[in-house]
Amino acid sequence: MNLQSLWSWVALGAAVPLCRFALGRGGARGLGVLTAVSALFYLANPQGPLGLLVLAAGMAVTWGCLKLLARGRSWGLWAGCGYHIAVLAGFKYLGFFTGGALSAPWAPVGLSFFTFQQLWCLHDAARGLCRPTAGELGACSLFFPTVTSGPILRPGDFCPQVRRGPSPGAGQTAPALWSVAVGLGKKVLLADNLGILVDNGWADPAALSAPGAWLVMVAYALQLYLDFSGYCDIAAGLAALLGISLPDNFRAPYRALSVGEFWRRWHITLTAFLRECVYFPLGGSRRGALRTYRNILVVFLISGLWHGAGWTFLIWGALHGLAQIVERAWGAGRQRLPKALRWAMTAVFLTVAWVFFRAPDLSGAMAMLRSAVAGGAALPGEALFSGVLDAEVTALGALLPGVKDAGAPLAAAAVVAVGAVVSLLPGSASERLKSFRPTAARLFWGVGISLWSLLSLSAMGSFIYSGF
Amino acid sequence: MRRLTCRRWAALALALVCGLGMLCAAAVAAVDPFFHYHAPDPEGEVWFDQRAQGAGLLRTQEYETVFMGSSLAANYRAFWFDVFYDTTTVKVTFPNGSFAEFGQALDYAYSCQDVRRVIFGLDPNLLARDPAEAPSQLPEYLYDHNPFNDIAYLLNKDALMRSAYTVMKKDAGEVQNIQDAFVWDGNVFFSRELALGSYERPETVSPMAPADALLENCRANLSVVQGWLEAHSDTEFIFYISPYSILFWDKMQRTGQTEAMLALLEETARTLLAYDNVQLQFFMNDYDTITDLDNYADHLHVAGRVTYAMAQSMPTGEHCLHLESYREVLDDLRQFVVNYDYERIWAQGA
Repeated sequence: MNLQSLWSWVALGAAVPLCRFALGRGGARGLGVLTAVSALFYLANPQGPLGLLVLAAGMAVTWGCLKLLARGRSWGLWAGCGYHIAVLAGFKYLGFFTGGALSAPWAPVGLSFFTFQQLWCLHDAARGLCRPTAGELGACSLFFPTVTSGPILRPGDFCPQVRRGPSPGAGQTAPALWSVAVGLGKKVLLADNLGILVDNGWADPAALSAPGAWLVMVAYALQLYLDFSGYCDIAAGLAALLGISLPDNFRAPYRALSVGEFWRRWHITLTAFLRECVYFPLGGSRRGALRTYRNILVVFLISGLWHGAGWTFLIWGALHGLAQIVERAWGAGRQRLPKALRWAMTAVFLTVAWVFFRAPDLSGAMAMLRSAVAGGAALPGEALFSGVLDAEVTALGALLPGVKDAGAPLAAAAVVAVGAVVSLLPGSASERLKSFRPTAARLFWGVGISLWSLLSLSAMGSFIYSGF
Repeated sequence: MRRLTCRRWAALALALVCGLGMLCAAAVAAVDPFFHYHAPDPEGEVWFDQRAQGAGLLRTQEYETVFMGSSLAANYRAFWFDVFYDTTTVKVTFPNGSFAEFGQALDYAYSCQDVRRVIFGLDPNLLARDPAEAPSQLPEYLYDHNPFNDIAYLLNKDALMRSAYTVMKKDAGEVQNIQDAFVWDGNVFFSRELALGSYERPETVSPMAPADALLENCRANLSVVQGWLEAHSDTEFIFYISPYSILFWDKMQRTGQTEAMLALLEETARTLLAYDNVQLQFFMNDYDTITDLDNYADHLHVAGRVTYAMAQSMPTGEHCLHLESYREVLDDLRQFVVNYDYERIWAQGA
């Protein structure tokens, strides 16, 4: 779902009540309306019509394979998986595997999420866990809050909700709106401004001092979380407005005390998919330590590749796999370390590993890491903060000329500090929805954040995970 | 106070976001800092954003001549051309502008008025730049006639803050007339000391860059300009090349780019002069001007007295390059800049 224009929010204002009404009446008509609205939102993406054709073909293949599975033809699972993996590889990995000799000029938005969702559907159907109707498959596959950036929906969880005709009570609207406001604030006010600092730093990583490099690395760790979890909060809020409950995708991941725990808190639906569809079929942890280590490494190499076709993503995945192998091998001894030390070790590892996730290439990653280690102790230059909360800093400078020069560094410090605090808050989107209390303070913050974010939409960047 | 139930909270939140949003939109529409709905007051406005307010100027003014360029063109006044060419002129300048941005603004100008003449400050530094690295900062919602796009202007943090800024400045009486908009004479001073003070003399590089080092970028940028010439063959295009100071040529010499820059100029002249609707006015060989650093604020930006003289001379055509003779002019410039005693510049100041 493209949320970067004000008109898309106006369209949401019309689409949500329409879908809410149609779904509430239940039956195929409600699913049809939801699917049609979702398709319209998808069309607004770059290359939307072509992308929708690819997704429609994928759904048709999944539907055909589900029919085969229903008739006891187990090869339908492999045929469907083969097709979806081949389409994903053709669009996103052809260039990587052919050394750039061949590559697709574009890829449907959200194809990686869509593919894993279809694979999960086939996997669950083969085990008799889920048998969606055509309408349910279409609605689940194109569901507008999640189609471009997740969370990855498990049809077995989603379809029963739409089958019985969700009827959200009036009490659900307030927490849903609060979730949307929180997500907007995370994305527009925090992640996008952190992104400016990050882009400034990555423009020339070799020129950064060590404090500057660490600031950029930490800012990226925060940006990535706030960007993706912000989208998921918005998606959870929009789905809740329709009476649909989405799976949690984040549960305060930067509070994790180990890399293993981090993956139980970060992109939870991807972890669940990989655990059930890759790790368990490979044997999981039941066939000895070495097989377990191999399986962990395979899962995280796939995770790395899923995020992007490049060596930097593979190295990022491998680092996470290796870190978890080390944690397992270390065993109970690691648990005896002080909590603060375990948290710090995990946080430093995650921050360093994100360098490979963000770097344009390996030499860029090494340049950033070199600066972080041997960049000298100079404080970051003002150029690093240029553009952060630009309109606000300009306005502040006009009103208070005395703070004009300090405006950008102060704004950057505020964004990093608030971003860090928000990232470390406990809880998940679903817990936030359940524990919501309609207070005046929440009304003030909800309205303030929403309005500030909507007024900032003209400068909003795209969601990082919509590129995957 | 009545208890805040979830239902009441949701209703209040939606009402407040919509209500306050409409209030913001109304404030922007009323002040209209980018002149989207009203023409600027020619006697006193607050000028602060050449890209955003340029759209308003193109939309609200009546003109048949468009004067356009980068920051080097900002130090001209539109009414000079009204007088010298007996025309009506609008000035739109984008600092560090890209040819894509200028093209978009030109398209918008043609959609607003019957444009007969374009006077364009052709900046060799911008011609040499890779188009992929050029900025793309025009607020697109201002450069079209789609009323639905106005939502991006009306509900816009920048526009809202600029509205408050405009009101404050007008209250304080800090306004400029339209002819002084974005002119830097008066804010910037011109002297040999300032020009030398802002110039960082590079180390000498050898070997020289190949003569075709800048041609790929130049051709890519010129192809955009050629698109304008072909799309608007009835329009008279007057390109002028500003007199970069002798410090610019010192930089070219020391960085080994003199031949590459001259080749760029030659390519530009050869390409543009092939069109019947083009004049190319060349001021880089105004040796008295370029060697007198009191005319400059830095190694490029030239004082108002010089820009005025240039504007005055444009209708006479005395600085025009011609297909038959442009190579001689450029050869003469080559002789001058290659043989110039650059150390003299600093010796004079000693």
